[in-house]
Amino acid sequence: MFILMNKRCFLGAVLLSLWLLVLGLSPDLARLAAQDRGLAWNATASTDLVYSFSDGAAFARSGSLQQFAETLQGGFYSGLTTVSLGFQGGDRDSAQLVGLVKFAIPYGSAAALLAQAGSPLAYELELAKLYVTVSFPQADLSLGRMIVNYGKGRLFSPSDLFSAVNLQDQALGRVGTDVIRLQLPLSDLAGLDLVSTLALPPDQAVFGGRTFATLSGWDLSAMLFQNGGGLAGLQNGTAGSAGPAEEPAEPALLGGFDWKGDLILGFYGEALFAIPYAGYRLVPDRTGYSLALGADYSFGGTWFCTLEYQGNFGQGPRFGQFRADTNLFASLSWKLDEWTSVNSHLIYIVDTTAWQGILSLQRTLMGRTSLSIYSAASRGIVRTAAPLAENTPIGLSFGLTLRAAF
Amino acid sequence: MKKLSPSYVIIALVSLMGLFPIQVNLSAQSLPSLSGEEILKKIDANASFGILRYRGVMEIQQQKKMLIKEFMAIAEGDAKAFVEFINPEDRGIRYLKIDKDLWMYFPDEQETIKISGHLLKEGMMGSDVSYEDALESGNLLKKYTVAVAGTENLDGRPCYVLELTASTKTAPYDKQKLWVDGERFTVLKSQMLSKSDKLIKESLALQVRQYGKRWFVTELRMEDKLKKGGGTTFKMTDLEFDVSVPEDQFSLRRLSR
Repeated sequence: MFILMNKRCFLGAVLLSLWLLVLGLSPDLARLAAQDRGLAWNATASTDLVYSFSDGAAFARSGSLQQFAETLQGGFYSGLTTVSLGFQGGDRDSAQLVGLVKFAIPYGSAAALLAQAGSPLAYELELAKLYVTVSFPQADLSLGRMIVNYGKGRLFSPSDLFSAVNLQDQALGRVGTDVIRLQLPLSDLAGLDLVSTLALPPDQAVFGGRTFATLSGWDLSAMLFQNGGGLAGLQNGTAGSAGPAEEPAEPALLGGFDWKGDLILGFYGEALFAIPYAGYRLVPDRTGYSLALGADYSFGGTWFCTLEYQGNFGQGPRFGQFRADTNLFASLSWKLDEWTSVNSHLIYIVDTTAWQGILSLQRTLMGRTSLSIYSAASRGIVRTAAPLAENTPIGLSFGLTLRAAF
Repeated sequence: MKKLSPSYVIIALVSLMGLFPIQVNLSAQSLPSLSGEEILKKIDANASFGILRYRGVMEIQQQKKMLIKEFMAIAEGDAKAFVEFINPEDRGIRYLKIDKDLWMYFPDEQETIKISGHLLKEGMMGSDVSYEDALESGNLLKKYTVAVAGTENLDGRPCYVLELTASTKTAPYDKQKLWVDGERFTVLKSQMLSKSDKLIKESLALQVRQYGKRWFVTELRMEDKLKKGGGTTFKMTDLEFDVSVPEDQFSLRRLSR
């Protein structure tokens, strides 16, 4: 059995240590000259048009051309035009401000969903990133909304406590969260990273540290975090809809390690444990484990493939975006030339037979513009461990995305 | 007409030589005899510098299409390099090279990834310059045996022709052929070959400039002969040698800051 002091005191002790460290570094503040070099801006604009069917299997059941046409007309149209404005100001050696604002106008079914959610506006405004980094000779202190990206996996990454993958994004991009972060370099290739959430109540906060190093060509790291109970809600918030909402908010001590290196093919993995609390005591008998393994390889510089597995074991709390016992991911890309590629990926949950896949053709039209045509299909919700009903339909959609950078 | 005396003619010629020094151009045949190892060492000595900072442009051409990538680079010898792209579509993407290891940083995802070994043969940012080409630290002698195949004139420059044969499995190419400027000791042309002498890649120096005592190739054309048409032109401008940089310039901290 392991006895911890009151969690609030523990949190206070950690934060106090951070403040003492900052105060200790404060003499260096006087030597930091104010840097005002204005803001550097960049922007991307994209429009996404999608035609979707709630029951894609109806096409296979069509017995005639008329039925096929009726099914085709039974789809619904949605779209999203997004302008992302990024800015960065300051100096890397003293202080920086980084931000990313997304302005999106939905239409079709997407606009209807927004109206149903009770939004009085016909658009969405998202502050995807906004943080300040103050750099001292011995440390970098960041505060605000940022992506804390720990994981080695392209999709499965249980160690990514603070950033969830956006499954609606073809590129499987990640979403930021509000944290305070202290990064302490130990050498050019090693360091210590201390992070704590800001948006959660203190008794539900998620905080802790991770240390990393590169040895003999392998990237290695170990982490230890305290989950006050807010982790599931945090990941729901960053992951968006269809998150693991059914999991209770259970306080736990999280720890583990990860690696990435080469064994002819690229090989990486993460192994984590979660020991829940009963009151202020840890309950090792109910420890939950998560293991993610992945490999990537390329053939002739033309074909690129990635295979990943994530397994969750034990009776204890489950964390991460994918809660089923056995989760699989496969990705295959074919690069026709420097401007054109065909990409595909498939997520399959063995326990529930839920799956999600996408096939896309991407083409760079000119220097700063690209076009993507894609088809996506899914059955069930891949994030949860809840069993799938037999009559769960296959959702099918066809889309087109045009994107330009400035 | 009075004949000029021979001694007067000789004195006149010597005087003229003093006023107009005759530049002696070495021809390929007159290059001093050096071994392959000596030539490679002179190339390395020419290319040695403390810290180099420059602005680079990659013009990636395939058939009629052109992609332009711009970046700022800082390099310490051939073991360390830090590159940050500044063209709009790639702005903020960074590379860090330390010896044989390469990391990339993607600012949108705030993600640092280590480039797997099998990806090192890929072209950097879609160019014909592979990560392996960029990573190949100097000292070719550690990976290749070298022999002087002869001398040639290349675009008016007398050159040593070197033939390199891989002596380790880690050498990126089975064979290489180099045309080395016999006066400046810069590589003017190189060919990367397979075991069967099939041409894989070819690079050609388009511009060579002098910086102090050293000569530097500031414009290079690389063509992947396994692809149809196209190639990558690599240009270096605003070169600054032996600049001072922060202590952590070549670190993961700087990469993700």
